This record gives sequence, C-alpha cells and structure tokens, in this order.
Amino acid sequence: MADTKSNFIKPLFDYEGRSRVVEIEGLNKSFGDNHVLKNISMELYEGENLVVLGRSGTGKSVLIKCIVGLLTPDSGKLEVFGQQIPGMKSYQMDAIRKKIGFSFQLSALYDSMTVRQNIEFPLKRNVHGLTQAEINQRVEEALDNVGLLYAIDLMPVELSGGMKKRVGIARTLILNPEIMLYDEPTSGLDPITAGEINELILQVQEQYHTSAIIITHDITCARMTGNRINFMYEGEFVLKGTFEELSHIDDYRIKPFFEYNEF
Amino acid sequence: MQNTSLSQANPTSEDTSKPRKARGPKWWIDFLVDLAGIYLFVVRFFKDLFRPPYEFKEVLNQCYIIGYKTLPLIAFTAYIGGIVFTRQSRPSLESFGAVSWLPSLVGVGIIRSLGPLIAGLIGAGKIASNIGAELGSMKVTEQIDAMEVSGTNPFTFLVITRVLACSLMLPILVIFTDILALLGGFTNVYFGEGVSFSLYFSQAFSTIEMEDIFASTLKSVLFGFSIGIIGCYKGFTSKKGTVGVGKAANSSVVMSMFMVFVIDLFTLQIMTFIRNILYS
Ligand SMILES: Nc1ncnc2c1ncn2[C@@H]1O[C@H](COP(=O)(O)OP(=O)(O)O)[C@@H](O)[C@H]1O
Ligand SMILES: [Mg+2]
Repeated sequence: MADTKSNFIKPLFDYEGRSRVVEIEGLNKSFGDNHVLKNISMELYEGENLVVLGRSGTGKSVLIKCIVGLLTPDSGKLEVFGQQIPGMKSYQMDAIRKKIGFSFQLSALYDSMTVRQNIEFPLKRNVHGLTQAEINQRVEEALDNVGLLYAIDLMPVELSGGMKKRVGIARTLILNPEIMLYDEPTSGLDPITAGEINELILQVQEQYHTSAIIITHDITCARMTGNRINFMYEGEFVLKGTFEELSHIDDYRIKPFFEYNEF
Repeated sequence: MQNTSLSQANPTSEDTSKPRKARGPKWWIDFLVDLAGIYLFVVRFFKDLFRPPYEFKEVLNQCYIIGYKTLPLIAFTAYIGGIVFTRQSRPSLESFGAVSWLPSLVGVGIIRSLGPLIAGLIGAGKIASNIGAELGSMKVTEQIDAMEVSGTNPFTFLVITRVLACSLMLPILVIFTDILALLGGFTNVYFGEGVSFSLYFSQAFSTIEMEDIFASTLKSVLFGFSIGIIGCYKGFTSKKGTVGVGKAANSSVVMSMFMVFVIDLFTLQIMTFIRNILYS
C-alpha cells in the first residue's frame, strides 16, 4: 500500500499542496474474538471525497466511529487535524467533533423533536450567544440547502427515508463542519432518491468545502461521489484507487461490485 | 391460545437446544453486571449533576410528560385502592367494637404505606418502561451516538433530566395518591357510617406525625430516583434490534418494581431506627 501516492494524482481532483485532515496508520480494532479492523492505513485530503467501499459487516462503520471517538481502537495512529484521537480529553474531543459532521445510516433524527428542533439542537448547544432570529435564519438556510424548507415543522415519523437523510445532513451542516462522514448515505433508498442524495453530497463538497469519507456498498454512489476509493475487504483495505482504476482491476474480491451493477 | 403466546414470549425452551457457548451467561452474572452498571450510573449522575450545561427546560418537559402519563391511572387506582382498603379493614375493627377508629386506621395505612406503594408501583410500570423503551430505541437507532458526536453529552441531556424529573415528580404523585386514596376511604365511610367530610379528615390525620411525612417524602424521592436510573440504564445498555428495546422496557419495569419494595423495606428500617433514637 506504499504506492497510494500514484493513485491519487488524478486530473479530476487536484491533490497538489493539500493537507491531510485525517491520517490513519496501522489501526486495529477487535470486539472480543472478532478482529474487525486489521492494520488499517488511510488518509483523507482536504476537500476530497473519499469513498470506503465494501460489503456489509466488513467494519466500515466501525472505522468512522473510531474517527469520531464513539469507539476506541486497540492500537494504531489515528489523527484528525493532526491530533491523536484515542485517549483525547473530552473537551478536546468535543472541539474536534464540532468540526466533524456525521450522517448516520439510519439518519438518527431525534424522534421526539420536530425537524426544526432537530436542527437547532446542535446549534443551541455549541454556538452560544445567538438570538432566536439568528438561530431561525441559520436553521432555515441549512434546510433550504438540502431542499427541505417546507418540512421544517414536521416530525421525523412523517418524513420519507430520503427526506430523513437530508434532514440528518442539514443537522450536521448547521455547524459548518470541515469533515463530513457519511455512513451508507444511499442504502435503503430507491435509485432516484439515491441519485439525489449523491448530488447533495457533491453539492455539500462544493458549497461547504468539506472533506468527506463516504461509506457505501453502492457502486453508483461510489462512482458519483468519490474522488478516490478505498476498497475494504474483511477489515482490510485491499485495493485503493479511482473508480476508473478499480473498475479495470481483475480481483475476485471487487469484481462482484462492478458486475452486479452493470446495465 | 394462552399457551402459544406464552411459549413465544419465553425463549428459554429454544435456548436449551442451542450449544452451551451460544447461551448467554448465567442470570446471576447478568444481575451482578447490572448492579455494577447501575452503581456506575449513580456515581456518574452525581458527578455530572452540577456540571453545566443545565437543561432546565428539558427537566420541566420530562416532569410534564411523567405527570401527564401517570396521573389518570394513579387517580383511578388510588381511589379504588382507598375504597377497598377501608371496606376490608372494617370487619376486624367491628369485632372489637372500634369502627369509630376506622378513619385513623385508614389514614395511617394510606399515608405510611399504601399511597407511596401505589404511586411507586405505577411509576415503575408506566415511567420506567417508558424511559427504558424510549432511550432503548434512541440507542439502537443511533440517536444517542448522534447526540454524542454533535458535542452534547447524552448523559446530561437524557439521563440527568429524566432522573431529576422522576425524583421531583414521585413525591408529588405520592401526595396526589394519598389524597385520592383517602377520598376513596371517605366514600366508603360516608356511605357506611355517615361520617362527615371534616370529621373524617381530622381523624384520618390525627395519628399522622411529622416523621410519617418525612418518611413518605424520603421514600418517594428514592422511588423516583431508582425508577429514573434503572429506566435510563436499561435504555442505554439496550441491545440492537426491536427485541432489545422490548427487553429494555420489560426489565426496567421488573427491576424498578423490585427496587420499590426494597426501598420500602429499607426506609421502614431507617425510620424504626430513628424513632428508637428519638424516643429512648
Ligand atoms: N459495538 C459493537 N460491539 C460488538 N461488535 C460490533 C460492534 N459494532 C460492530 N461490531 C462488529 O463489527 C463488524 C463490522 O461491523 P460494521 O462496521 O457495522 O460493518 P459495516 O461494514 O457493514 O458497516 C461486525 O461483525 C459487527 O458485528
Ligand atoms: Mg455499517
């Protein structure tokens, strides 16, 4: 995996002079006997969309949960903005978390709150001294950016799967994150809605200048949103490259992803 | 009918067929793990209680939800309980020719024992299950994780608020229960002996002392605290899936009902001890 440098110099995305916002080296994580992450190494460059592709249960979610400190890895280097995450004090962790937006697989909207209250929630607790008018304005702006201003007073149960994803993304965008982590942004959605979410991810990259890790098993999502793809197989990154490069690789582990989605 | 639903609800018959490794640890290990976990929850509660941010609004919101959810059921149960208790106490007093003592007996019985117990058990049934299920589903749908990564301490926002609300509301619910149960007693005495409202209540309170009020308040705060802590603990440690959430709700009820009786006994011992010191 020492040759990753050759993989990211692509005409589509210019890596020249970009800093690494996430750096991971030799990361391991086990649950009891279940060795989930095996010697993971990767880096996320400022402004890029990095796709982590792999089938269910290989440890993709575990990886990004380690990045935000929801899980603690057993060993390895895990730096975000140059700071080692495991063992960090909680106030430092909170400061880092403010700069990271996490879009959960099930959207994780707070059931007991309206869309507006959901989006206000992180804002009120992280940015102090805002007037109610300023809060309202920022909430509406964030919702408008995901195209859901009309749903502002609905409850989460009244939303469709795609709408929930959008609100979840708006809730993280309200704090202007520098890094976005998307956990299966398109899973469980119909192809049209999935396509809209993919476009939203690109729009967020452009508009908010975020660096993003997009976890998926959906090859269309990987093709549309990713500047680079790291392919995970049983807790290891076995292949890295652009979509173009990976689609030509003759490897039994990645072939199925391309074959099942050809039409 | 009943048999099938019972065997579905109880998976033990299935479990025995599985290899030993697949079965969970013995129940008493689970129980010890729970005790240790609850202990840590209590420690964390007092550690984080005075640490900002303070979610006053959410505490009030939770108080409102608790009152709203339990008042109708408590009112009904307490009133009926008062009637039945009075009716069943009458014959034994009659056999001594002491029916005129009925209001004081009812007053002592309700305020010392019946009222807190009714409120505590209904609180365990309605409030603990509600908290267990709500936090359990928040846990399995990653809402608690979402709160954590958005820089809000879920323990402060979810646990401290609910435990405080329970501890504040249970004493109020107990007073409410006492009043309705006494009214139930009055209904019975009124139709039995034609005792007037003022006479009934002055007799009912005649043997009540300050310690009784103190004991009742202490008890109810402890009831509320344990209901809140157990519901939150079970919710936070809920296993994945809808089965996990159901189990969290169910075991919250079982455990907090158990605790209600333990606390009842515990405060009785404490009060006896205090009385012995005061009057010896
Ligand atoms: N909190 C946890 N406790 C124990 N095992 C876990 C936990 N989270 C994930 N795992 C295990 O880690 C493995 C990878 O899970 P995950 O990262 O969710 O897969 P995916 O790639 O589909 O996101 C699975 O075998 C899962 O059982
Ligand atoms: Mg996953």
